[in-house]
Amino acid sequence: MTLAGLRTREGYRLVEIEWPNRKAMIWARDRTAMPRVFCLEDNYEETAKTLGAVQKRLFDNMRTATRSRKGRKPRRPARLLNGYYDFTTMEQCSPSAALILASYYDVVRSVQGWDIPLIEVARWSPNVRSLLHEIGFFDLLELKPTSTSPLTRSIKLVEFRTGAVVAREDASDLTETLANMLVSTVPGIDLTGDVGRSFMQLFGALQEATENTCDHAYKGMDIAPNMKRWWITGAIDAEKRHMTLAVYDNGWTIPATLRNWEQYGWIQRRLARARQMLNFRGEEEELDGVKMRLAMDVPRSSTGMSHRGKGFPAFKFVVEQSRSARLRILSRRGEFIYEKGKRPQARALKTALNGTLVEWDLWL
Amino acid sequence: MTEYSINVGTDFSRIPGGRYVRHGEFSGEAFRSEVLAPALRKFDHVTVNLDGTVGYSGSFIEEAFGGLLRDEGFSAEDIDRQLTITCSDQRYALYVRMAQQYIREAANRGSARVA
Repeated sequence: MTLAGLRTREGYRLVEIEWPNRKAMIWARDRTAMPRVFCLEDNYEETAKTLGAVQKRLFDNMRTATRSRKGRKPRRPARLLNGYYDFTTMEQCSPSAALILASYYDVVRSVQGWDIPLIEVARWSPNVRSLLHEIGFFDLLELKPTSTSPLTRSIKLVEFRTGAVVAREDASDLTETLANMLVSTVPGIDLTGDVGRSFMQLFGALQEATENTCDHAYKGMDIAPNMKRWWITGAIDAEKRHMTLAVYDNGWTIPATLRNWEQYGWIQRRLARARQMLNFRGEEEELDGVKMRLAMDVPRSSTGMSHRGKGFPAFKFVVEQSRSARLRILSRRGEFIYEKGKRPQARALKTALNGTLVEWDLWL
Repeated sequence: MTEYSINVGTDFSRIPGGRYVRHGEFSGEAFRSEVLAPALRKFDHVTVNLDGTVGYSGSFIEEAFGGLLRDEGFSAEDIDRQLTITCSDQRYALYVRMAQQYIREAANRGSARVA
Protein backbone atom coordinates (compact mmCIF):
# COMPACT_ATOMS: atom_id res chain seq x y z
CA MET A 1 0.00 0.00 0.00
CA THR A 2 1.27 3.49 -0.87
CA LEU A 3 1.14 6.46 1.43
CA ALA A 4 -1.16 8.22 -1.03
CA GLY A 5 -4.27 9.50 0.62
CA LEU A 6 -3.27 8.39 4.13
CA ARG A 7 -1.61 11.53 5.43
CA THR A 8 -2.60 15.15 5.15
CA ARG A 9 -0.64 18.31 5.93
CA GLU A 10 -2.31 21.72 5.92
CA GLY A 11 -4.80 20.62 3.32
CA TYR A 12 -2.21 18.77 1.30
CA ARG A 13 -2.48 15.14 0.33
CA LEU A 14 0.36 12.82 -0.62
CA VAL A 15 0.04 11.67 -4.24
CA GLU A 16 2.19 9.80 -6.70
CA ILE A 17 3.44 11.99 -9.53
CA GLU A 18 4.99 10.70 -12.73
CA TRP A 19 7.35 12.38 -15.21
CA PRO A 20 9.27 10.70 -18.04
CA ASN A 21 11.61 8.17 -16.41
CA ARG A 22 10.84 9.12 -12.82
CA LYS A 23 8.16 8.90 -10.18
CA ALA A 24 7.87 10.57 -6.80
CA MET A 25 5.49 11.12 -3.92
CA ILE A 26 4.52 14.74 -3.56
CA TRP A 27 2.21 16.83 -1.37
CA ALA A 28 -0.67 18.20 -3.43
CA ARG A 29 -3.78 20.27 -2.80
CA ASP A 30 -6.67 21.90 -4.68
CA ARG A 31 -7.70 18.71 -6.41
CA THR A 32 -10.33 19.07 -9.14
CA ALA A 33 -12.13 15.86 -9.97
CA MET A 34 -12.52 15.03 -13.66
CA PRO A 35 -16.10 14.12 -14.66
CA ARG A 36 -17.09 10.49 -14.12
CA VAL A 37 -18.39 10.45 -17.70
CA PHE A 38 -15.93 12.47 -19.78
CA CYS A 39 -17.92 12.68 -22.96
CA LEU A 40 -19.27 15.52 -25.10
CA GLU A 41 -22.33 13.48 -26.02
CA ASP A 42 -23.56 11.92 -22.77
CA ASN A 43 -22.29 14.62 -20.41
CA TYR A 44 -21.72 17.69 -22.53
CA GLU A 45 -21.92 20.53 -20.01
CA GLU A 46 -19.61 19.08 -17.39
CA THR A 47 -17.13 17.81 -19.98
CA ALA A 48 -17.01 21.12 -21.88
CA LYS A 49 -16.55 23.05 -18.61
CA THR A 50 -13.73 20.75 -17.56
CA LEU A 51 -12.00 20.95 -20.94
CA GLY A 52 -12.20 24.74 -20.79
CA ALA A 53 -10.74 24.78 -17.28
CA VAL A 54 -7.94 22.34 -18.14
CA GLN A 55 -7.04 24.38 -21.21
CA LYS A 56 -7.06 27.62 -19.23
CA ARG A 57 -4.80 26.24 -16.53
CA LEU A 58 -2.34 24.70 -18.99
CA PHE A 59 -2.23 27.72 -21.31
CA ASP A 60 -2.09 30.27 -18.46
CA ASN A 61 0.89 28.41 -16.97
CA MET A 62 2.50 28.42 -20.38
CA ARG A 63 2.00 32.19 -20.82
CA THR A 64 3.21 32.97 -17.31
CA ALA A 65 6.28 30.80 -17.75
CA THR A 66 7.06 32.36 -21.13
CA ARG A 67 6.92 35.85 -19.65
CA SER A 68 8.72 35.28 -16.39
CA ARG A 69 11.33 32.66 -17.21
CA LYS A 70 12.58 33.73 -20.62
CA GLY A 71 16.32 33.12 -20.80
CA ARG A 72 16.50 31.57 -17.35
CA LYS A 73 17.31 28.02 -16.33
CA PRO A 74 14.46 25.47 -16.47
CA ARG A 75 12.46 25.43 -13.27
CA ARG A 76 13.12 22.63 -10.79
CA PRO A 77 10.22 20.27 -10.17
CA ALA A 78 8.03 21.72 -7.41
CA ARG A 79 7.96 20.06 -4.00
CA LEU A 80 4.34 20.99 -3.48
CA LEU A 81 1.63 20.80 -6.10
CA ASN A 82 -0.97 23.55 -5.89
CA GLY A 83 -3.88 22.51 -8.03
CA TYR A 84 -4.25 19.43 -10.18
CA TYR A 85 -6.88 17.47 -12.11
CA ASP A 86 -7.72 14.13 -10.62
CA PHE A 87 -8.16 11.59 -13.44
CA THR A 88 -8.95 8.77 -11.01
CA THR A 89 -12.60 9.88 -10.97
CA MET A 90 -13.05 9.24 -14.71
CA GLU A 91 -14.89 6.02 -15.46
CA GLN A 92 -15.69 6.65 -19.11
CA CYS A 93 -13.94 8.72 -21.73
CA SER A 94 -15.09 9.28 -25.30
CA PRO A 95 -12.64 9.43 -28.23
CA SER A 96 -13.49 13.07 -29.01
CA ALA A 97 -13.10 14.28 -25.42
CA ALA A 98 -9.80 12.38 -25.23
CA LEU A 99 -8.67 13.99 -28.49
CA ILE A 100 -9.37 17.52 -27.23
CA LEU A 101 -7.68 16.83 -23.90
CA ALA A 102 -4.64 15.41 -25.69
CA SER A 103 -4.52 18.44 -28.01
CA TYR A 104 -4.12 20.83 -25.04
CA TYR A 105 -1.28 18.81 -23.56
CA ASP A 106 0.25 18.51 -27.03
CA VAL A 107 0.25 22.29 -27.47
CA VAL A 108 1.99 22.92 -24.16
CA ARG A 109 4.47 20.13 -24.75
CA SER A 110 5.34 21.29 -28.28
CA VAL A 111 5.46 25.02 -27.53
CA GLN A 112 7.29 24.83 -24.19
CA GLY A 113 8.95 21.43 -24.37
CA TRP A 114 7.87 20.87 -20.77
CA ASP A 115 7.66 17.52 -19.05
CA ILE A 116 4.06 17.57 -17.89
CA PRO A 117 3.56 15.13 -15.03
CA LEU A 118 0.53 12.92 -14.49
CA ILE A 119 -0.87 12.24 -11.04
CA GLU A 120 -1.76 8.83 -9.59
CA VAL A 121 -1.83 7.05 -12.93
CA ALA A 122 -1.88 3.65 -11.24
CA ARG A 123 -5.26 4.52 -9.69
CA TRP A 124 -6.92 5.57 -12.96
CA SER A 125 -9.63 3.35 -14.40
CA PRO A 126 -7.83 0.75 -16.57
CA ASN A 127 -10.25 1.44 -19.42
CA VAL A 128 -9.62 5.19 -19.33
CA ARG A 129 -5.88 4.68 -18.98
CA SER A 130 -5.67 2.33 -21.96
CA LEU A 131 -7.95 4.54 -24.04
CA LEU A 132 -5.74 7.55 -23.38
CA HIS A 133 -2.72 5.39 -24.14
CA GLU A 134 -4.21 4.34 -27.50
CA ILE A 135 -4.95 7.91 -28.52
CA GLY A 136 -1.32 8.84 -27.85
CA PHE A 137 -1.73 10.81 -24.63
CA PHE A 138 1.04 8.96 -22.79
CA ASP A 139 3.36 8.97 -25.78
CA LEU A 140 3.14 12.73 -26.18
CA LEU A 141 4.13 13.09 -22.50
CA GLU A 142 6.81 10.38 -22.93
CA LEU A 143 5.20 8.29 -20.22
CA LYS A 144 4.42 4.59 -20.15
CA PRO A 145 1.09 3.50 -18.73
CA THR A 146 0.88 0.57 -16.35
CA SER A 147 -2.03 -1.75 -16.95
CA THR A 148 -2.85 -4.72 -14.81
CA SER A 149 -6.58 -5.26 -15.13
CA PRO A 150 -8.43 -6.73 -18.12
CA LEU A 151 -10.30 -4.14 -20.18
CA THR A 152 -14.07 -4.04 -20.37
CA ARG A 153 -14.48 -1.71 -23.31
CA SER A 154 -15.00 -2.67 -26.93
CA ILE A 155 -13.79 0.64 -28.41
CA LYS A 156 -10.40 0.71 -30.14
CA LEU A 157 -8.82 4.07 -30.92
CA VAL A 158 -6.29 5.24 -33.45
CA GLU A 159 -3.42 7.39 -32.22
CA PHE A 160 -4.09 11.05 -32.90
CA ARG A 161 -2.41 12.91 -35.71
CA THR A 162 -1.82 16.63 -35.88
CA GLY A 163 -0.67 19.10 -38.50
CA ALA A 164 -0.79 22.61 -39.87
CA VAL A 165 -1.33 21.93 -43.58
CA VAL A 166 -4.14 19.91 -45.14
CA ALA A 167 -4.20 16.35 -43.80
CA ARG A 168 -3.22 14.27 -46.78
CA GLU A 169 -0.99 11.43 -45.62
CA ASP A 170 -2.40 11.68 -42.11
CA ALA A 171 -5.97 11.39 -43.40
CA SER A 172 -4.91 8.47 -45.59
CA ASP A 173 -3.11 6.73 -42.69
CA LEU A 174 -6.03 7.28 -40.36
CA THR A 175 -8.66 5.93 -42.74
CA GLU A 176 -6.47 2.98 -43.76
CA THR A 177 -5.71 2.11 -40.13
CA LEU A 178 -9.42 2.24 -39.30
CA ALA A 179 -10.25 0.10 -42.33
CA ASN A 180 -7.70 -2.53 -41.24
CA MET A 181 -9.01 -2.46 -37.66
CA LEU A 182 -12.52 -2.87 -38.97
CA VAL A 183 -11.64 -5.89 -41.09
CA SER A 184 -9.82 -7.56 -38.19
CA THR A 185 -12.49 -6.89 -35.55
CA VAL A 186 -15.88 -6.83 -37.29
CA PRO A 187 -16.91 -10.04 -39.06
CA GLY A 188 -18.24 -9.83 -42.60
CA ILE A 189 -16.93 -6.37 -43.48
CA ASP A 190 -16.36 -5.93 -47.21
CA LEU A 191 -14.23 -2.95 -48.16
CA THR A 192 -14.94 -3.26 -51.87
CA GLY A 193 -18.54 -2.08 -51.48
CA ASP A 194 -20.31 0.71 -49.61
CA VAL A 195 -17.99 0.62 -46.61
CA GLY A 196 -14.94 1.09 -48.83
CA ARG A 197 -16.68 4.01 -50.52
CA SER A 198 -17.40 5.54 -47.11
CA PHE A 199 -13.69 5.44 -46.28
CA MET A 200 -12.88 7.26 -49.52
CA GLN A 201 -15.44 9.93 -48.66
CA LEU A 202 -14.18 10.21 -45.10
CA PHE A 203 -10.69 10.75 -46.48
CA GLY A 204 -12.10 13.65 -48.54
CA ALA A 205 -14.08 15.03 -45.62
CA LEU A 206 -11.03 14.97 -43.34
CA GLN A 207 -9.17 16.96 -45.96
CA GLU A 208 -11.98 19.50 -46.25
CA ALA A 209 -12.13 19.88 -42.47
CA THR A 210 -8.40 20.39 -42.12
CA GLU A 211 -8.35 22.74 -45.12
CA ASN A 212 -10.97 24.74 -43.29
CA THR A 213 -8.69 24.88 -40.26
CA CYS A 214 -5.76 26.06 -42.38
CA ASP A 215 -7.77 28.79 -44.11
CA HIS A 216 -10.09 30.08 -41.41
CA ALA A 217 -9.69 28.69 -37.91
CA TYR A 218 -6.70 30.69 -36.69
CA LYS A 219 -6.73 33.64 -39.08
CA GLY A 220 -5.33 36.69 -37.29
CA MET A 221 -4.97 34.84 -33.98
CA ASP A 222 -1.97 36.04 -31.99
CA ILE A 223 -0.58 32.69 -30.89
CA ALA A 224 2.58 30.69 -31.56
CA PRO A 225 2.59 29.27 -35.13
CA ASN A 226 2.80 25.67 -33.93
CA MET A 227 -0.40 26.13 -31.93
CA LYS A 228 -2.31 26.70 -35.18
CA ARG A 229 -3.01 23.07 -35.86
CA TRP A 230 -5.72 20.45 -36.23
CA TRP A 231 -5.93 17.12 -34.41
CA ILE A 232 -7.66 14.03 -35.81
CA THR A 233 -8.46 10.57 -34.53
CA GLY A 234 -10.80 7.68 -35.17
CA ALA A 235 -12.32 4.82 -33.19
CA ILE A 236 -14.13 1.57 -33.81
CA ASP A 237 -16.60 -0.17 -31.56
CA ALA A 238 -16.65 -3.71 -32.93
CA GLU A 239 -19.59 -4.80 -30.76
CA LYS A 240 -21.82 -2.00 -31.96
CA ARG A 241 -20.38 -2.02 -35.51
CA HIS A 242 -19.83 1.68 -35.04
CA MET A 243 -17.04 3.95 -36.25
CA THR A 244 -16.22 7.54 -35.26
CA LEU A 245 -13.88 10.05 -36.85
CA ALA A 246 -13.15 13.35 -35.17
CA VAL A 247 -11.34 16.54 -36.15
CA TYR A 248 -10.61 19.28 -33.63
CA ASP A 249 -9.10 22.73 -33.87
CA ASN A 250 -8.66 25.27 -31.12
CA GLY A 251 -9.34 28.31 -33.30
CA TRP A 252 -11.90 31.11 -33.48
CA THR A 253 -14.85 28.71 -34.06
CA ILE A 254 -17.32 28.59 -36.95
CA PRO A 255 -19.89 31.08 -35.58
CA ALA A 256 -17.11 33.58 -34.84
CA THR A 257 -15.58 33.42 -38.33
CA LEU A 258 -18.74 33.36 -40.44
CA ARG A 259 -18.79 37.12 -40.83
CA ASN A 260 -15.50 36.93 -42.76
CA TRP A 261 -16.94 34.42 -45.18
CA GLU A 262 -17.96 35.42 -48.71
CA GLN A 263 -21.32 33.74 -48.24
CA TYR A 264 -22.09 35.58 -44.99
CA GLY A 265 -24.58 37.89 -46.70
CA TRP A 266 -26.83 34.92 -47.43
CA ILE A 267 -26.61 33.80 -43.79
CA GLN A 268 -27.12 37.31 -42.46
CA ARG A 269 -30.36 37.82 -44.38
CA ARG A 270 -31.83 34.59 -43.06
CA LEU A 271 -30.55 35.27 -39.57
CA ALA A 272 -32.27 38.64 -39.55
CA ARG A 273 -35.50 36.96 -40.60
CA ALA A 274 -35.11 34.32 -37.87
CA ARG A 275 -34.44 36.99 -35.23
CA GLN A 276 -37.58 38.82 -36.26
CA MET A 277 -39.72 35.69 -36.29
CA LEU A 278 -38.49 34.57 -32.87
CA ASN A 279 -38.49 38.13 -31.51
CA PHE A 280 -34.99 37.24 -30.34
CA ARG A 281 -33.49 39.42 -27.58
CA GLY A 282 -30.88 37.03 -26.18
CA GLU A 283 -27.09 36.91 -26.36
CA GLU A 284 -25.48 36.65 -29.78
CA GLU A 285 -23.89 33.30 -28.87
CA GLU A 286 -27.33 31.79 -28.35
CA LEU A 287 -27.67 31.93 -32.12
CA ASP A 288 -24.52 29.89 -32.72
CA GLY A 289 -26.49 26.73 -33.52
CA VAL A 290 -28.76 28.59 -35.97
CA LYS A 291 -25.75 30.22 -37.62
CA MET A 292 -24.09 26.86 -38.08
CA ARG A 293 -27.21 25.35 -39.56
CA LEU A 294 -27.51 28.26 -41.99
CA ALA A 295 -23.84 27.91 -42.92
CA MET A 296 -24.46 24.25 -43.73
CA ASP A 297 -27.38 25.20 -45.95
CA VAL A 298 -25.66 27.88 -48.03
CA PRO A 299 -26.35 26.96 -51.66
CA ARG A 300 -23.17 26.49 -53.67
CA SER A 301 -24.43 28.85 -56.34
CA SER A 302 -25.32 31.69 -53.98
CA THR A 303 -22.35 33.81 -55.01
CA GLY A 304 -20.01 34.13 -57.91
CA MET A 305 -17.26 32.62 -55.80
CA SER A 306 -19.03 29.48 -54.74
CA HIS A 307 -16.05 27.34 -55.73
CA ARG A 308 -14.43 28.48 -52.51
CA GLY A 309 -16.42 27.42 -49.53
CA LYS A 310 -15.88 26.05 -46.08
CA GLY A 311 -16.12 22.44 -47.18
CA PHE A 312 -19.45 22.00 -45.42
CA PRO A 313 -21.12 20.14 -48.30
CA ALA A 314 -18.35 17.53 -48.07
CA PHE A 315 -19.05 17.12 -44.35
CA LYS A 316 -22.68 16.28 -45.14
CA PHE A 317 -21.80 14.27 -48.22
CA VAL A 318 -20.35 11.42 -46.12
CA VAL A 319 -23.67 11.12 -44.30
CA GLU A 320 -25.76 11.30 -47.45
CA GLN A 321 -23.73 8.57 -49.15
CA SER A 322 -23.64 6.16 -46.18
CA ARG A 323 -26.23 3.60 -45.13
CA SER A 324 -26.46 4.93 -41.58
CA ALA A 325 -24.41 7.91 -40.48
CA ARG A 326 -24.40 11.13 -38.51
CA LEU A 327 -22.44 14.38 -38.60
CA ARG A 328 -22.14 16.38 -35.39
CA ILE A 329 -20.38 19.72 -35.14
CA LEU A 330 -19.71 21.54 -31.90
CA SER A 331 -18.33 25.04 -32.19
CA ARG A 332 -18.43 27.70 -29.47
CA ARG A 333 -22.01 27.41 -28.19
CA GLY A 334 -23.48 25.90 -31.31
CA GLU A 335 -24.33 22.28 -32.00
CA PHE A 336 -25.34 21.03 -35.43
CA ILE A 337 -26.46 17.47 -36.10
CA TYR A 338 -27.10 16.04 -39.53
CA GLU A 339 -28.32 12.47 -39.52
CA LYS A 340 -29.34 10.26 -42.36
CA GLY A 341 -33.11 10.24 -42.77
CA LYS A 342 -33.74 12.98 -40.17
CA ARG A 343 -34.20 16.73 -40.18
CA PRO A 344 -31.00 18.65 -39.38
CA GLN A 345 -30.88 19.85 -35.79
CA ALA A 346 -29.24 22.96 -34.38
CA ARG A 347 -29.20 24.23 -30.84
CA ALA A 348 -27.40 26.57 -28.49
CA LEU A 349 -25.46 24.98 -25.65
CA LYS A 350 -25.02 26.55 -22.22
CA THR A 351 -21.28 26.06 -22.09
CA ALA A 352 -19.06 27.02 -24.99
CA LEU A 353 -16.54 24.59 -26.38
CA ASN A 354 -13.27 26.31 -27.20
CA GLY A 355 -12.64 25.64 -30.87
CA THR A 356 -14.47 23.36 -33.26
CA LEU A 357 -15.08 19.63 -33.14
CA VAL A 358 -16.37 17.82 -36.22
CA GLU A 359 -17.45 14.20 -35.71
CA TRP A 360 -18.71 11.60 -38.13
CA ASP A 361 -20.40 8.48 -36.79
CA LEU A 362 -21.04 5.56 -39.09
CA TRP A 363 -22.99 2.43 -38.23
CA LEU A 364 -21.85 -0.42 -40.45
CA MET B 1 -4.86 13.80 -83.61
CA THR B 2 -2.55 13.48 -80.59
CA GLU B 3 -3.83 11.65 -77.51
CA TYR B 4 -2.54 11.62 -73.93
CA SER B 5 -3.67 9.73 -70.84
CA ILE B 6 -3.17 10.66 -67.21
CA ASN B 7 -3.86 8.30 -64.33
CA VAL B 8 -4.03 10.43 -61.21
CA GLY B 9 -3.08 7.56 -58.88
CA THR B 10 0.06 6.55 -60.75
CA ASP B 11 1.08 9.72 -62.61
CA PHE B 12 0.43 12.28 -59.86
CA SER B 13 -0.21 10.90 -56.38
CA ARG B 14 -2.00 8.03 -54.69
CA ILE B 15 -2.87 10.55 -51.98
CA PRO B 16 -3.91 13.80 -53.65
CA GLY B 17 -5.16 16.56 -51.40
CA GLY B 18 -5.85 20.20 -50.71
CA ARG B 19 -7.11 22.90 -53.04
CA TYR B 20 -4.13 25.21 -53.29
CA VAL B 21 -0.37 24.67 -53.33
CA ARG B 22 -0.21 26.41 -49.94
CA HIS B 23 -2.27 23.55 -48.52
CA GLY B 24 0.58 21.11 -49.10
CA GLU B 25 1.97 18.80 -51.75
CA PHE B 26 -0.17 17.22 -54.49
CA SER B 27 -2.95 19.80 -54.38
CA GLY B 28 -5.65 20.36 -56.99
CA GLU B 29 -3.87 23.53 -58.08
CA ALA B 30 -0.60 21.61 -58.56
CA PHE B 31 -2.32 18.88 -60.57
CA ARG B 32 -4.06 21.45 -62.77
CA SER B 33 -1.12 23.76 -63.39
CA GLU B 34 1.71 21.22 -63.57
CA VAL B 35 0.04 18.20 -65.15
CA LEU B 36 -3.40 18.74 -66.65
CA ALA B 37 -3.22 22.20 -68.22
CA PRO B 38 0.20 21.60 -69.89
CA ALA B 39 -1.13 18.31 -71.28
CA LEU B 40 -4.22 20.03 -72.68
CA ARG B 41 -2.03 22.66 -74.33
CA LYS B 42 0.29 20.06 -75.84
CA PHE B 43 -2.13 17.35 -76.98
CA ASP B 44 -5.35 17.41 -78.95
CA HIS B 45 -7.14 15.17 -76.49
CA VAL B 46 -6.46 14.19 -72.88
CA THR B 47 -8.08 11.40 -70.87
CA VAL B 48 -7.88 11.66 -67.07
CA ASN B 49 -8.49 8.43 -65.19
CA LEU B 50 -9.31 9.02 -61.53
CA ASP B 51 -8.58 5.45 -60.34
CA GLY B 52 -5.90 4.43 -57.90
CA THR B 53 -6.09 7.11 -55.21
CA VAL B 54 -7.15 6.86 -51.58
CA GLY B 55 -10.01 9.22 -52.47
CA TYR B 56 -10.53 12.88 -53.27
CA SER B 57 -11.71 16.00 -51.54
CA GLY B 58 -14.27 18.12 -53.34
CA SER B 59 -11.92 21.10 -53.21
CA PHE B 60 -9.15 19.15 -54.98
CA ILE B 61 -11.53 18.12 -57.77
CA GLU B 62 -13.01 21.60 -58.09
CA GLU B 63 -9.65 23.32 -58.30
CA ALA B 64 -8.21 20.74 -60.70
CA PHE B 65 -11.10 20.79 -63.17
CA GLY B 66 -13.17 23.93 -62.48
CA GLY B 67 -9.90 25.87 -62.36
CA LEU B 68 -9.17 25.00 -66.00
CA LEU B 69 -11.82 27.50 -67.04
CA ARG B 70 -11.28 29.98 -64.24
CA ASP B 71 -7.49 30.18 -64.09
CA GLU B 72 -6.04 28.52 -67.20
CA GLY B 73 -8.07 30.27 -69.89
CA PHE B 74 -9.78 27.21 -71.39
CA SER B 75 -13.32 27.62 -72.64
CA ALA B 76 -16.16 25.22 -71.97
CA GLU B 77 -15.97 24.20 -75.64
CA ASP B 78 -12.21 23.47 -75.36
CA ILE B 79 -12.81 21.27 -72.35
CA ASP B 80 -15.75 19.54 -73.94
CA ARG B 81 -13.73 18.74 -77.05
CA GLN B 82 -10.37 17.99 -75.48
CA LEU B 83 -10.95 16.39 -72.09
CA THR B 84 -12.45 13.07 -71.02
CA ILE B 85 -12.69 12.21 -67.33
CA THR B 86 -13.13 8.56 -66.59
CA CYS B 87 -12.63 5.67 -64.16
CA SER B 88 -12.51 1.90 -64.42
CA ASP B 89 -13.26 1.27 -60.75
CA GLN B 90 -16.89 2.20 -60.05
CA ARG B 91 -16.00 3.54 -56.60
CA TYR B 92 -14.57 6.57 -58.45
CA ALA B 93 -17.64 7.18 -60.61
CA LEU B 94 -18.86 9.67 -58.03
CA TYR B 95 -15.72 11.78 -58.48
CA VAL B 96 -16.06 11.67 -62.27
CA ARG B 97 -19.58 13.12 -61.93
CA MET B 98 -18.29 15.66 -59.42
CA ALA B 99 -15.54 16.84 -61.81
CA GLN B 100 -18.04 17.17 -64.67
CA GLN B 101 -20.38 19.16 -62.44
CA TYR B 102 -17.60 21.54 -61.35
CA ILE B 103 -16.66 22.14 -64.99
CA ARG B 104 -20.31 22.97 -65.78
CA GLU B 105 -20.51 25.31 -62.79
CA ALA B 106 -17.30 27.08 -63.72
CA ALA B 107 -18.59 27.48 -67.28
CA ASN B 108 -21.85 28.96 -65.98
CA ARG B 109 -19.99 31.43 -63.82
CA GLY B 110 -17.95 32.63 -66.76
CA SER B 111 -14.27 33.22 -66.53
CA ALA B 112 -14.34 35.76 -63.67
CA ARG B 113 -11.06 35.32 -61.87
CA VAL B 114 -11.10 35.21 -58.12
CA ALA B 115 -8.50 37.22 -56.25
